Amino acid sequence: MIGENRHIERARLLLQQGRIKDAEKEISYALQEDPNDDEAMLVLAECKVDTKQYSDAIALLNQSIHIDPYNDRPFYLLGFAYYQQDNFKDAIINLNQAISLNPYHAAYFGLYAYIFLEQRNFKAALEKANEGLAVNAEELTCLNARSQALFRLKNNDEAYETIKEALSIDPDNAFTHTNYGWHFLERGKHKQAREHFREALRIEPTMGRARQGLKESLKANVPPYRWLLMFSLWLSTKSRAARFGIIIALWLGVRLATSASSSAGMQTLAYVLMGLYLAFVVFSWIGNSLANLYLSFHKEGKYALTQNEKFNSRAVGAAIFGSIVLFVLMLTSSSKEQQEGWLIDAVIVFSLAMPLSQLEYPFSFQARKVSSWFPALLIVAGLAAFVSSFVSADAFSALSLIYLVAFVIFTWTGSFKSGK
Amino acid sequence: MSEAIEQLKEALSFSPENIPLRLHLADMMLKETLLEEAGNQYNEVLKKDYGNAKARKGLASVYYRQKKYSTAIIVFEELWKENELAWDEMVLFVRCLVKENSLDEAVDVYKKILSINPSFTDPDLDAVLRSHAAGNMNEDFEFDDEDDDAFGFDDNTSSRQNFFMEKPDIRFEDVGGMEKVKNEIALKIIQPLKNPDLYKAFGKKIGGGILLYGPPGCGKTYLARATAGEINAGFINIGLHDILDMWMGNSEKNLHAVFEYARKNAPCVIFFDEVDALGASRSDLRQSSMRHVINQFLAELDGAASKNDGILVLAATNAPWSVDSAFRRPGRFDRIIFVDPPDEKGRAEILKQHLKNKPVDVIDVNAISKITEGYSGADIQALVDIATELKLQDSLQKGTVERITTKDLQRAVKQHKATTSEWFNTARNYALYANESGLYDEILKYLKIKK
Repeated sequence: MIGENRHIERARLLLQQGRIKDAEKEISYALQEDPNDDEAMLVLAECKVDTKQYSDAIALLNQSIHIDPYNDRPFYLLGFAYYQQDNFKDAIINLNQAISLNPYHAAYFGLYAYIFLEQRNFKAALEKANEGLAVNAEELTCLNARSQALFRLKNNDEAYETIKEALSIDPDNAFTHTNYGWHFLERGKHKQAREHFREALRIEPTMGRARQGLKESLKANVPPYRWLLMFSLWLSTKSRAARFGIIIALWLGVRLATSASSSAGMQTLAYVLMGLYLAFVVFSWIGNSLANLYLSFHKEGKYALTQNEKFNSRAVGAAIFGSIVLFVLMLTSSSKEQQEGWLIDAVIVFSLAMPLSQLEYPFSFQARKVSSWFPALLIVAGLAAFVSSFVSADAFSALSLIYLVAFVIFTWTGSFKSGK
Repeated sequence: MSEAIEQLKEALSFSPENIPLRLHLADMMLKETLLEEAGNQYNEVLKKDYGNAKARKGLASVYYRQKKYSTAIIVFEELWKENELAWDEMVLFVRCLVKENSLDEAVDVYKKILSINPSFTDPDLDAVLRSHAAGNMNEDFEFDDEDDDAFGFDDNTSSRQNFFMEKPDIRFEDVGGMEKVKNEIALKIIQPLKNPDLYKAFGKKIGGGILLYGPPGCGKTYLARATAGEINAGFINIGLHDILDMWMGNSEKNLHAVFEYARKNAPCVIFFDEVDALGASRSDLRQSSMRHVINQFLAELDGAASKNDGILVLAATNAPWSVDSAFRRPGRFDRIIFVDPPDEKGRAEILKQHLKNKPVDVIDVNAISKITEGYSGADIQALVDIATELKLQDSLQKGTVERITTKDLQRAVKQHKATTSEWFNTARNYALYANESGLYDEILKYLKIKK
């Protein structure tokens, strides 16, 4: 390190210690002395990568490469930044450059493998991970990527073997534990998953993916949610087109089955099928909020919930409770007209649970995103329809029509969004 | 050269509003030591663009060269507060301060200069400032300079210590709130010093340090300083940069030097700010030889080679989870104290303190402290600064002194949110998921997760 600028050296230390702000300040002194110091730019870029400011990082890295095009590290970091931005094409270009400059860095192949995993090209991912492991058989990114690729290729034995190896090389690696945990969640083994998430968090308490995993593993205590989770994790491994295909095929299948069974004179079966499908759709909307409601009574889980999740779960719970009350009122009322009225009200209040589960909290009036104000508008419309049912029949029929149209738009656009 | 100046002047006569051009001209004049003319040009820029930092810097340099030090100080001071000064301008600033004999402020600035460039020396400044800060410490010490060449620094600079000893004149009563923390420090540190025989009689070992942790800006450093003041001891503040420089090569020796100096000047408080920087993350330690800095630190703490009588070691950190676990063994930092943000009463006191000597209306201090839950001492100071700025602008516009009101402070509260929340977000995760042996129970209590 002799001859290296003291500021850069200090900044490196600070970066290693996770003091990003201090490191950035120290680097600014180095850049004041020499604005074209590529090493300083590189350290600053690493700070930006660590704080997830990928666009800034990319600009700095390009500058640094401009000054010294033979350093492999900035190319690797560029690859990483592009990977984080889901720009896989540029990620691969830069990663190839990094590897051609320095083919002896196993982590570069590990990142390569992860890009292929994202692209669902599992064979290529496995190849890249193996290439990296040929350079360094103990490289953890490569081992993790390899096990994930193997699982997707249904080679479970080797996959478990690889994970065991990774854990024996470094039992204190939060990243490995987290990957293992998510794998178990996907298989519905939520208790084993939980152990690994706990271990990951003990090592690295600020790791968001592990915290999310722990939360999901606790919610998976509730069986229907566990199935929903398994389904959505399974769905997420498919390509976008395949996901759309599955959702539409499911809908078409149910339609065909119901019409076939009703034309064959089995009305009840048709109703049951339709009912199950509807229950599935509704649960896919509000299941998460309901599971969060369960979690908010859980000793460990209640601290893991965010403000927004707490709000959504309570709101959904309230809507469902309200609809049950209205349903009971229907059962106890005598005239048929009254019964009908209560039933419609119960349905309206129940349907409110769906936009309530999507509402963003705390409310922001400046939000320009449709997805943030549309649920709020829908709730207002639904409440208006509900209130008007006690006031005037004309107003009710107008308002409920508006609500119905908005509701259909909401659910369809929502389904497409989740398909993505 | 002066021809170039003539040309610039001419160009400027065609576009008198061109500020960069005028600044360029002024800079040229300054280089040619046409001081008066340069000063005029800078003033002209300031007339057209009030507050232009470059012009103010230039003006200060002109005053410095004209030996109008007190005027230069006024300009530099403003820039210093706005964090606008570059390193070489700080050197000018400190020279002015020395000339005007404002030594306390000069030491502050000089520390900053050294923190940016530790190898800087200046015989004149060193003679005045280092001895002012630390008595005649440089003469006390013979350094073994043999290995220093290996690090590529000049002998003189590497052996020079960058630490300062002061005699704080604040005491516990100057620290608002924090009763619990003060009591613990008193019990652990102050009483043993005052009644050594009593402690001996009860078989209680004297020594060991205290580790203060908590969100930034809640007065850990102030408290450490007050501890030294309370027992009338010297105070050596080892900051982040000093610690970092220990990592960078030459410095177990410097660490030893700090302790030796303290031993010679007992009673003395050594305060390690941001002590977590001494223990880099575990993965780095595994492969590196850097462990020796930590080992040296532990040996000094344990008093392995020399006794630590009369030395108190305090340390503070915002990241207790990064502190090497070896530091927490008995006899080292065996008392770990959580310094939480001030409570409602504490906030009111701090607010009163900051509003002192400011033009204020009748202010409902309690109302403000009620709506500032979680604000640190530094946050409250920021509130007062914001309100002051607002009123200053008003006063300038209206030409009268406008007083700070409760409403101004309420407005400031809306602008400035508590900076401690970010810290608690992180701390909460550590307390929930990595609370081995109950280390972070106090954080859980503060967050009302545990009773």
